[in-house]
Amino acid sequence: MSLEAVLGVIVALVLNAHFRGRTLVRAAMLIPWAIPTVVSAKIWAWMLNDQFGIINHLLMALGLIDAPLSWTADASLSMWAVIMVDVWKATPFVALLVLAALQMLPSDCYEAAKVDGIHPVRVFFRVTLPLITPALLVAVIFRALDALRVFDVIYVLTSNAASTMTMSIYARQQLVEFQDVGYGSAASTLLFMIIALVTVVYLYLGRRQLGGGS
Amino acid sequence: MTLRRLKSIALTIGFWLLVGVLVLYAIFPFYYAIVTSLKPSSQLFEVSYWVDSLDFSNYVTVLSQPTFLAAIRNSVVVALSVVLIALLLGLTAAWALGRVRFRGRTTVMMIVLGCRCSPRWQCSRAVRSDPHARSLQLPRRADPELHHLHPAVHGVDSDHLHAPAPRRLEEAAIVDGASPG
Repeated sequence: MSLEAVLGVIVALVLNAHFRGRTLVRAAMLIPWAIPTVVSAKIWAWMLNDQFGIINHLLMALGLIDAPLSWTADASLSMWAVIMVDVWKATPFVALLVLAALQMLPSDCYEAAKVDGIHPVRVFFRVTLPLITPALLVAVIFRALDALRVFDVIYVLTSNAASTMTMSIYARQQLVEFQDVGYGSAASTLLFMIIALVTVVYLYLGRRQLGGGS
Repeated sequence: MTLRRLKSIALTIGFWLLVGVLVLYAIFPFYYAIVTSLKPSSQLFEVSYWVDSLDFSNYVTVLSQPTFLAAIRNSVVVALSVVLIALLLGLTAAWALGRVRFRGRTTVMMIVLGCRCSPRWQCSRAVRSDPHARSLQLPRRADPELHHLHPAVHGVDSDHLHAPAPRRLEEAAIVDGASPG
């Protein structure tokens, strides 16, 4: 989620800049979000395949690894693999929300900063970031809700592997595979309550921070 | 060449490198799927970065399958229905939650947000497996999109994300005799 937020802001800043071919780049950046999750997870599973995957082939060609890695089978790598795929998938969502906020920023702040000769990095941290914080908080909470109940990406990539099992996969396993409806329902309800609790705490802290800032 | 000019060129190159890396990162899996789809089955297990030879046999096979064409039709039906129903529910709920003051508004908004806390597959399974909810059942093909029908989820965040629509216009219209609804 933090990776998605950072990458999303970088992508949004790039898409907000004026350059030739911006429309094409905007369309290209939306591709991960447009592809159905199951399909994109399957594509990544094929790319990460330990024997025939292009990622291993590329890394070996560049001399970064000596032998193919089992990205989705090795317990120490599989978590990073699913995080990488989920970040790839969800970054456009964060970028879109931040881009919408960037396009509504008042230009006079930037003109004043330019006249005063403020360095662009300083302008970003002192002007842009505080102004887009509300939109970023919304993006983060929606991504937090989705990431906490993530199911499809992980189920396609690593199935029921214990090293990457999330709350949703555990609940589904109990409810569907083991047909333990009572236990599975309890797990699902607890999952709901945990996510709701995280949401309430996040909203409370977010409001306090925004209120304190103003 | 002045230092400023050099700095400007370096910044331009850096910017375009960043754009290139981001675009490559975003589209490469999609590109690789296209490359794979244009290979015959015999070459499937050979890694290639480019399209070496155009083989459309996979596309011909897919398009000749009646189930694929039926799946496209189902997708269009589901997509249109979901957009229309979600717009209807979302717009009316967002207007009510944003403009109408009533007791328990915050609670309703939290419940709406709470819809997003439950796993998607759980919702569809609950509807399918509950024998008392037969009348609520959707066709099996609609399940993946069921979560989009959660009411007004996308309307909750409007205060934070977008500039609120000016109330003055609405007040002026009401003064001129227009009804609030």
